[in-house]
Amino acid sequence: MVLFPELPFARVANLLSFLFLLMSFLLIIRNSLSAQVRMFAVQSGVLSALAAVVAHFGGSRELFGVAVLFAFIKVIVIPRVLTRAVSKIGIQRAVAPYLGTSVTLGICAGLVVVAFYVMAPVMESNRLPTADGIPLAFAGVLIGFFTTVNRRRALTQILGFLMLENGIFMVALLATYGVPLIVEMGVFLDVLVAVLILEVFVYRIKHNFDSIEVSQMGALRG
Amino acid sequence: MLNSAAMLTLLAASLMLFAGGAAGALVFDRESGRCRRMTHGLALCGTVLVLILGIAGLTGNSFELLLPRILPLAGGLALGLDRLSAFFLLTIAVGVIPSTLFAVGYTRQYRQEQALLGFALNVFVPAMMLVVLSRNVLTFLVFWEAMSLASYFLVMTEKDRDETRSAGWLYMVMTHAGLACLLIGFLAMLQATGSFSMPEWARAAEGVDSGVRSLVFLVMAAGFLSKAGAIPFHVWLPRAHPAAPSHVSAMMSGVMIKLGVYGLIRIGFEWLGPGPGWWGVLIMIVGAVSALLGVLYALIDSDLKCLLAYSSVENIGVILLGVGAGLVFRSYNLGSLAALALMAALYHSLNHTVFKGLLFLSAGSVVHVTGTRITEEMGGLLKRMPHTGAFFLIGSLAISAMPPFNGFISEWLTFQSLLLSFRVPEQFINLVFALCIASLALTAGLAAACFVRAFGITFLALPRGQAVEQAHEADWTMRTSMGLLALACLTLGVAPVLALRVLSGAVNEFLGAAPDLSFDWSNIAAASAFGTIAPLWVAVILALLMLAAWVGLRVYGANFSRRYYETWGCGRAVQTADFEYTAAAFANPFKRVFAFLYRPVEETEIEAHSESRFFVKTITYRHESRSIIEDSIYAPIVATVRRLAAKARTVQSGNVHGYLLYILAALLTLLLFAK
Repeated sequence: MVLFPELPFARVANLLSFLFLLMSFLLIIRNSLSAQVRMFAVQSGVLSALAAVVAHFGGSRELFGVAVLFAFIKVIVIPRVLTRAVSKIGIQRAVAPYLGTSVTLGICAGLVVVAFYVMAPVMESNRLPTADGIPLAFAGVLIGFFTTVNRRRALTQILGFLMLENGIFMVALLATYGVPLIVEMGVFLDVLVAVLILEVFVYRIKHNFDSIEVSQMGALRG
Repeated sequence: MLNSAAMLTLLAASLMLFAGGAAGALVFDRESGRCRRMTHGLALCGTVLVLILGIAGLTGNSFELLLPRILPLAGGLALGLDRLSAFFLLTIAVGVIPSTLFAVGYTRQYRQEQALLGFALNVFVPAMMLVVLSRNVLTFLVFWEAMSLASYFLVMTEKDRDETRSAGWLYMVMTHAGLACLLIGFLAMLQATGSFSMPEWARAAEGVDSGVRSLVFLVMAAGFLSKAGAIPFHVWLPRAHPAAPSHVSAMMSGVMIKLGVYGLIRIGFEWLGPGPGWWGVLIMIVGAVSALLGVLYALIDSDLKCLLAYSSVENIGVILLGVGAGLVFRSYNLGSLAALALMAALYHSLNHTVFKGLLFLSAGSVVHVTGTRITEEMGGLLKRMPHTGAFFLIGSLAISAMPPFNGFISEWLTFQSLLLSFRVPEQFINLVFALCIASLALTAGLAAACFVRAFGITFLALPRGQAVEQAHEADWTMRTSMGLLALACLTLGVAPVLALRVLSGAVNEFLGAAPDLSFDWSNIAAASAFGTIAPLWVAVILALLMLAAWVGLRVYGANFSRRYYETWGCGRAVQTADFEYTAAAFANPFKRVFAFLYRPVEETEIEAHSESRFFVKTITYRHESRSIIEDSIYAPIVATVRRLAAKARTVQSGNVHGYLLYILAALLTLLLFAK
């Protein structure tokens, strides 16, 4: 049974991909940590919807499971963990990036261009209706990576890492309709554990050093 | 005759024994006594099988083994045994068996490090064996590296001492620099011939450009010479060998550095095909310089084990003279002379394994009981350790090339092969040989002086310290192992025919030419009686002369009863150790004669009584020498590396964001380039 036969698959997929990228940009310009966590949750929600759409049109029942699991972990569990960390650490503002918002936005725009340029051959060789979204997903990867570089605080670096991971999931989703469930589950578990460990670590670092400024680790070098 | 299946079973059995020893080290790492007996016992059994394999190989058995499933990328694990490999297996076994037996008693002092020692030993020995058996590039490199790493951990046994750590570090750097050289050479040959298999190279080498082959020879020779410890690549050797436990020193000096010679023989005579004469000339010059400088540094060193390590550099030089002469002769198509020279080199490497093993083990017993390695603090040990002293004396005689011991035969053979160079129709080559002969002669004399000093200062006269006075004889495993080696020194010197027979077979198979040497039990004749010697008769006459002296004294009525009297009293009222002739004093004339080489720093401080300068309280005399090679070659390299490293350090910002940025930049660059 097809639920919305009048909606062309490719257009819905593209729309969701754009929403995904939009969330990345919104995350970058928000300053408060809790707002950033919310943006991440929304982005994950969009991604889970995209997975459901691909599952629906691609006719893969397995992918529905992935979408549900993804929504559970990335929309509910991880944001909660991060919110808890934020409240424990108690800094709500002053996320302190290296570069100002406007410069960051400019660079991210440049990264989107790079993503389109680099992914052009992949788009051409890919026959799936979702192929148009691939550069957007890859731009999400690059922006996530750039966020880890740009932010001083350990917690925002975790967010950057999670965005990067979202982007990778989305590239796989759009380019091949997702990897097998078992692989996906493994990745989810990895990310979840990584976030839990990082949360504990951030808390410990804060506890021991009264700061989570990663730049202070420079004092450790020989 | 054994078939190849039986040989492979033997190989597998020995590997299983080593594996058992390594596993035992891990299982019993808390019970040091059991661990010690088990790991060394299994290593000993495994090495006995290696000995059998070597002897079987020398009597004409061989095998080829290719396991394509292991290391599949590089054509599989390829092993093979020919007579040359078998000879080196024999050398390994001859060096390792007594050392391992010695270690059973000797390593009792290392309680904490027992598991590491046992494990590393059970990797080190089979790795050396498999290096010799390797028949393709990756197999060779894997076992070569395993050997280097295992020996590194053996050197680091006493890791709490600064000296050991710096020695280990230097060894690691030098051995990996050597490995890099080998890798470059192997890759270049791989490129040129398109084959991973070294026997294939030998066949394809004719088609490769001779310039490329010469470059490969230079690079790979540097790699192998650094393992062999030839000057100027020797810097690690006099530091690493003394820092290791003595049985490890014996194995490294006696056995491991010979594998550098093995590699050199393989590339020079086989893998890279026939080469021009200057390959051999180069090796001869390196050999002559190593021999001469090695013995000169040994002569002035006051650290007993350091002295032995420098003497290893010297002996590697003597071996290289034979190898180089062989290369020169072969390039002039003098096959039988090349075979003679190579045979001399191989015989000397076996002999060096025997007597250097003996010397290191007896030095180890001495160091073990006295707790010092400085000869100046020893003295008078012959009365307290009569067996160890006698074994050290035998080793000293053998290494000084005194008949009837083994060193004499192989140095004689080396001399003969060098003297026969007049058959080469080129004056430049003749001149090089003449200089090499002169330096070998000088080396032999200086080596004798060096070991007179080593034995005399260590074992004779009065003890110079408390620990030395209370020294006691080593336990039975240690004495048995030294006894075995001393017996081998004598056997190889009195009945060299045993070794010459298998050696001439091995060289004949390897070079395709019989050595120009005829020998039987009583007589050895080089180049149809150009030079002849009768080792058995020499020994008999020496024994008869000693007997005659004893009988003569009896007849004359000399007093044989023991007299208690002060030695060399010289009319002094008191006789203490302070009056004794010291090692520094013995070395001083040499220091003055060779001052241009040692570049000594001399300091004399005299502290006189405040009333009159004629009442001296103390005199401090320092006379240190500097290493000309380290100053002029290594110091600039080290300075440059340090400067570059300081510059490169700015890349290491210590900033996590910086590192993340590097990754991002690398990713983007690669993506854009790949486009």
